[in-house]
Amino acid sequence: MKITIKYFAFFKEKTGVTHEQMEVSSDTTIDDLLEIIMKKYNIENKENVVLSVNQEYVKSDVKLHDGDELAIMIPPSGG
Amino acid sequence: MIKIKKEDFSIDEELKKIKNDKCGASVIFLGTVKSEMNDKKVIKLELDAYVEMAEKKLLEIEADAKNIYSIVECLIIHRYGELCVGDSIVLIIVKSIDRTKSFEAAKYILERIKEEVPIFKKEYAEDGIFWHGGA
Repeated sequence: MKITIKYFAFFKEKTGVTHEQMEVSSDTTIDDLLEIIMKKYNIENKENVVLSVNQEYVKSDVKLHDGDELAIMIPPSGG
Repeated sequence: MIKIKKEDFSIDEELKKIKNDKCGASVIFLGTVKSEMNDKKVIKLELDAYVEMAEKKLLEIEADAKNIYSIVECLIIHRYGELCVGDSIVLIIVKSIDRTKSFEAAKYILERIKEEVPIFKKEYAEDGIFWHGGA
């Protein structure tokens, strides 16, 4: 299945991209995909990672579905 | 009414957009870039935003505030991009018949923006550059 990944703030800088698409197997969780991404971009610290799928905040054990849009962010600090 | 944008805004112009003479109470909150944070001089801020999700979250917050506090009109603008000391970051205007509810609603909206709206501050300070919330 195809997943679109969007990067923001610290993660946009670390990866050097705003978004990308990845092809993953159908039983992939966010945790699995995070491992792949962190390894690909050599990111060690993911303690403060905040995630959303299709613009709703989620935890990392959620399963992904074909066409999902995963966003990798840090905690919001607007206002 | 909600907006996420890079451009600055005029409070007077925005007030005209939600003019409603039934409301006697308008509360305006304006957040600006501070010159110091944690006793360190701030040079500028750079705000990154997940614009589509931020718009969605602001609409949810606006709807909830209207329901909870019976406010009549609401306008929220949040800027992103590069902002200097003194620049406006966020504008919240709440109009209602009851002033107490307008004050409470403005505070409620601001607190939820800080917690839920995916906008991220990168601070350029005299002692370095860092993302608020870190990673």
